[in-house]
Amino acid sequence: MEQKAKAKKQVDVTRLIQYMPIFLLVLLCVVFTAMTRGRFLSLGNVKTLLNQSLIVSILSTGAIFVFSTGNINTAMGGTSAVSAIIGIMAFHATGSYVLMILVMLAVAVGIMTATCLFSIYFKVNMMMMTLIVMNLLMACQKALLVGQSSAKVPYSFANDAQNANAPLIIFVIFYVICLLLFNGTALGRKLKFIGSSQNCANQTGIHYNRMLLVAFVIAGIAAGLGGLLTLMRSGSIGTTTNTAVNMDVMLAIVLAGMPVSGGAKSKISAAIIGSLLVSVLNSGLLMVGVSSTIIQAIRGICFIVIIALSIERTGRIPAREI
Amino acid sequence: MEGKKSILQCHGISKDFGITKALKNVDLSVYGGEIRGLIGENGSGKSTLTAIIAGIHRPSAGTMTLREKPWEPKSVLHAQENNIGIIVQEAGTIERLTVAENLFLGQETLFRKNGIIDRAAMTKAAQEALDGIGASDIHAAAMTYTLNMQDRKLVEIAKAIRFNPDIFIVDETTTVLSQSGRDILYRLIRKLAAEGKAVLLISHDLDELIEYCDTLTILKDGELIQNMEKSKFDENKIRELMIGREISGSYYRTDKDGYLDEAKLVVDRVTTLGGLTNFSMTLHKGEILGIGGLSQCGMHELGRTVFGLATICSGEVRIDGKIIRNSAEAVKNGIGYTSKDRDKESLALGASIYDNISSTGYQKNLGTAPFISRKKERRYVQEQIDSLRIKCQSERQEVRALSGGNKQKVVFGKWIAKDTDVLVLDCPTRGVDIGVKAEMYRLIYEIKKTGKSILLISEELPELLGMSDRILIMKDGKISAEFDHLRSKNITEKDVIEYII
Repeated sequence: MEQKAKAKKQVDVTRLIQYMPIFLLVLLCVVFTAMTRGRFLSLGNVKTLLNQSLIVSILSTGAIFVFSTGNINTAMGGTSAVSAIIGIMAFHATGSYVLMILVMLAVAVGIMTATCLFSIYFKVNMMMMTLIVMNLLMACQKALLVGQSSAKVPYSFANDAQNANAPLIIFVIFYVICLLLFNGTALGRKLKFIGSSQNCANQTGIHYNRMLLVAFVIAGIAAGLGGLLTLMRSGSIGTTTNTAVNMDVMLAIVLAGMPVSGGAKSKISAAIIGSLLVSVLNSGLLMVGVSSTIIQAIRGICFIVIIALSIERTGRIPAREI
Repeated sequence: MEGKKSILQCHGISKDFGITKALKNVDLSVYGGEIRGLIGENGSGKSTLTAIIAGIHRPSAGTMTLREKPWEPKSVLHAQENNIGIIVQEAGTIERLTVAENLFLGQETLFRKNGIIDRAAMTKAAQEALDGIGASDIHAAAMTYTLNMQDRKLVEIAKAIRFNPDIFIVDETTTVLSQSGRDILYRLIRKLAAEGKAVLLISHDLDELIEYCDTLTILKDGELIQNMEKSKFDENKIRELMIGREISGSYYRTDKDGYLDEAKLVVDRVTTLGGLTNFSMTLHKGEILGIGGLSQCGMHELGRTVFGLATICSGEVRIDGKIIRNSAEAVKNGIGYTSKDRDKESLALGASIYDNISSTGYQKNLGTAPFISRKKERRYVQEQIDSLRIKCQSERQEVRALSGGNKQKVVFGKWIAKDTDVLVLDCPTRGVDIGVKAEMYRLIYEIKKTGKSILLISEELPELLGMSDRILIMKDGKISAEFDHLRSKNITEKDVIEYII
């Protein structure tokens, strides 16, 4: 009996932890609104905030497919920037926006696929691999711009896109598809099962390599779209655009309560809640007058605290079995 | 025992693991200058007893005295400091360290020089230790993973000897040693005994025990049956004491059902990296085929091979004529597998019961493709929880929190739900209490009755004899004997055991 009661309590605690990110989001909003005397919740600010969070959101959505298998992908930001630059070059060569978007998607998917295949066939640890690719992409980003400060598309592109609410529409469509794939089909279940125990997944007849490749292809599409959204926001891609966004993506995922090690507790909603949290944190702190350097530090501390907490919680939240 | 000094005495030692009673009120005295053999079936409590002496487990009841002082070992290290050395059944070396590092694990400071570990000196000392036991062809600087099982064991032996043990415990080590390795070990234990030290030797090899031991202690079901002096050694008598147990009631099968002639799964002249040599067998429809032998005989490798997990060098595994190359193909073609290492391989511990059982049914539970029907999936899981009586709060409970028996039921459940034609069960009742065991046996029989085939790999002879239609006994990756028509003939453990060792 006593054991049962104890287990019951544990279930409740787990449930509580599940809702923690939402509490946190509300709490942060309330605190920032109070500290800025309502300015934080002004229409203009909310709009910018949502706009900012869309890019992190779409990248996180794709990244979660990879994260859920227990692998870490740190090349999302770099892929989105490089694919966007190559897309812009295609636009300048042909004058077609459609072609530009197609090239962006193709390049992003290509980079992710190559990364995944290289890691599988040469047995390089995936996190190592994506770290290397991240650095390579940073160099590519600079090299492709050959001395220019940024690659641009005509101003009207970003303007029209914003007026038509294109970023939001693109995100919603992509997110709904991912939501269905992740929660509704065998794909999401298989990825999470791999994250729970790669060994057991193998002995249940789940193809690890094949599934991982699918996850990376989806991450690639997300990176391509992320590049597109970035371009729609600012009309240009510079030498450092999106280089810091990887940290945002990872922070978003863990802030939203998804274990870094993936597995059964992975959830696709972490993309939205997490990126909102990151954006609220970034913009709120800035509005209350914290310098951007300090914000960096705060983000770093948040990250470490959450990782430490999630390790401490392994009794309730799954640690990966290898 | 006149003239010999008792080094260690155990009084009324009992040990419970949950509701399993591994040891019941065992008294044992260990004398200097004596090689004592411990013999008994799997699960008779030999390893538990020595593990308690060496500080790996705490006894549930009873006391020990070591050199006339109370002995309550806190850890293996504590035992080591008190000159008790143990070679365990499982691997006791760390692969990614060198031999020397393994030998001096935890004692690196012995070689500290100005704050830096002098690796050359450590390697030299390790080499001397290896040379000392006659294993000079092992290189102390080599990485341990480059060594074979035998050499790794020898490294452990060298390590234990280095502590100059008064009591030296060898737990089922000889099975991984070849003749040369065994000779080293035999020479060592004789030398230790001659120096007045005590040796406890656990082995399934009766000939070995009879030849080298001065006394034999026979255990059965956690109880000490008899201590036997060398002069009274009698092979048949020992075997009888060891295994002469009556099987009560309908614990095992009582039917005389046969099986169909139709072949379901064929292993055709398969040689694998893991130790099968030109191995062939056929599993028929509706058959329970038992595979027995010692742990290292290749039977576990056979299970892995059939399920597409082993590296096949030549030959092939076919189900209904289709070749199995990997586990995905095996699952696709209707083979299910429960691994001996249940927690690591057959379950995702951090995932829920629901996630684990539903993992075999993604295809079956499709609603409007490609979407999975939650309703179907929920039923798929709930049916298994109900029919197997899996004790849990809800299907969302993590598997980690379940007992061993219930974990095993989840593994059974995931394959039964999938309705696989062939079930490969590797030690399915390992670590499972008697009540659940009986349920599993009933279940296995029920699966057989529906025309499915079962490959039952087990280290427990009574289980094999009680459940199988046919038994293959394996030794060194080959079949050493076959027993057919088991249900109508009266074959006993005594008939089988000689083919095992």
